[in-house]
Amino acid sequence: MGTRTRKSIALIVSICLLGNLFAPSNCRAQLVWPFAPPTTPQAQRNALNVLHSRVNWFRNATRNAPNFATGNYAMVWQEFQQLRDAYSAFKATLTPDKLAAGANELAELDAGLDILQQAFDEYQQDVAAGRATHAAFESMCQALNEGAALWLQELDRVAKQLRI
Amino acid sequence: MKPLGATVVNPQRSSKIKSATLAYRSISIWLFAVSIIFPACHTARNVATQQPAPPDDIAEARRNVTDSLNAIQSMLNALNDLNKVSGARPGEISNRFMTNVYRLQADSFKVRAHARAMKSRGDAYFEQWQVHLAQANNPEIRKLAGQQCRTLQNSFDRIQQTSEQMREAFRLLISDVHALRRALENESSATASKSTKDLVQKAREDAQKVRQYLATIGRELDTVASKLKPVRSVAKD
Repeated sequence: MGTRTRKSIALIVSICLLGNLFAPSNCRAQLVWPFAPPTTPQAQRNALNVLHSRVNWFRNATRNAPNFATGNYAMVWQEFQQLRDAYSAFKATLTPDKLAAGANELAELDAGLDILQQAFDEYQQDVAAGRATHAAFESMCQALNEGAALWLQELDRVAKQLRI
Repeated sequence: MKPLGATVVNPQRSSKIKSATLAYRSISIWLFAVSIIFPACHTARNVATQQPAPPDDIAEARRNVTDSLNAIQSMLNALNDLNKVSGARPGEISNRFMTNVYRLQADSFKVRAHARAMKSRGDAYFEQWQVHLAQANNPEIRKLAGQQCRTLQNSFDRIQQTSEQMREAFRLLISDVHALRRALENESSATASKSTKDLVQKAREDAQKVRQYLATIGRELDTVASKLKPVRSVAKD
C-alpha cells in the first residue's frame, strides 16, 4: 500500500472521528429514511412554529369571520382543518421516545381538537333548532377562539415538557 | 541485465510491507467502526442526562378540577337566579347566564379534554402517572409511590370511573345550557314560559351531578396527594 493511500485513510478516519466528537446533535446516530418526515430537533421546532402560526390564523378567522356576509362558516372550518393537518405534521416529527413520553399530553391535545370540532356541530344544532344564524355563528366563533387559546397553552406546556 | 529504473524486491521486506498494510487496514476499520458507534453512545448519554423533570400530573389535574368546579358553581348561581324569577325577567339575569355559558365551556375545556384522553388511553393513562411518580426528583416521593402502589392504583381506578361519568354529565349539561340559551333568545316576552322553566330545572339538576362528580374526583386527587406527601420529622426538644 502506498504512503499516499495510508495517509488518505488516516485523514478520512480522523475527519470522521473529529466530526462525531464535535457534532452535538443527538440525531446524527440515527438512520434517516428517505420517505419518513425528519425527526430532528430542528424539524420539530419548525413544525411547532408552523402549528403556532396555524392556531393564530385560526383564532384570527374566528374573530373576523362574523363580520363577513358570506362564506364565513366555510372559512372557519377550513382554517380548523388546516390546524388539524399542522398538528398531525407536528406529531409526525416526534421521535418514538417523545411520542411515548408525552403520550397522555398528546392524547389530551387530540381530545382538545375533538372538543373544538364539536362547536361546529353545536352551531348546526342551534341553527336547526331555530336560533338566529348570526347569533349561533358568533357563539361558535367565541367558543372556538377561547378554546383554541387554551389548546395553545396546552401545546406550549407539552412542547416544553418534551424539550422542543 | 536489469532494465533501467527497476528495483530489486527483497522478499523479507515485501512480507514486512504486507503485514504493515494489513495492520493499517485493520486499525482503519476499527477506527471507522468506533467513529460510528461513538455518537450512538453519546446520544444515549445525552438522553439520560437531559431527561426533563416529569410533570406533576396530580397537581395539574387538581387545578383543572378546581377551575371547572368554580365555573359550575357560577353557572349554578346563574341558573338559581333564573329559577327564582317569577314575573318579568330582568335583562341582567339573562346576560349573566349567557356569560356563564362561555365561562363554563372555557373553564371546563381542560378537564373535559383530560377525561376524553383518559377514556382513549385507558389504563395506559394512569400507568404513565405511575411512571412519572417513579421518576420524581424527590426520592421520598419515589419511595412513597412504590410503597403506596396498591392504594394509588385504587384511587386512579376511581378517578377513571368517575371521570367517564363526569364527561357524560358535562355533555348533557352543555346541551342543556345551549337549549336554554336558544329558548331565552327566542322568547318573545320577558316572562319565562313553562318549557323554559323546565329547561332551567333540568340544567340545574345536570349541573349538580357534574359538581358532585368533580367533587369526587377532587377528593380522590387530594387523597393521592396526601399519600405522596413526605412526612417531615418533628424536631425533638
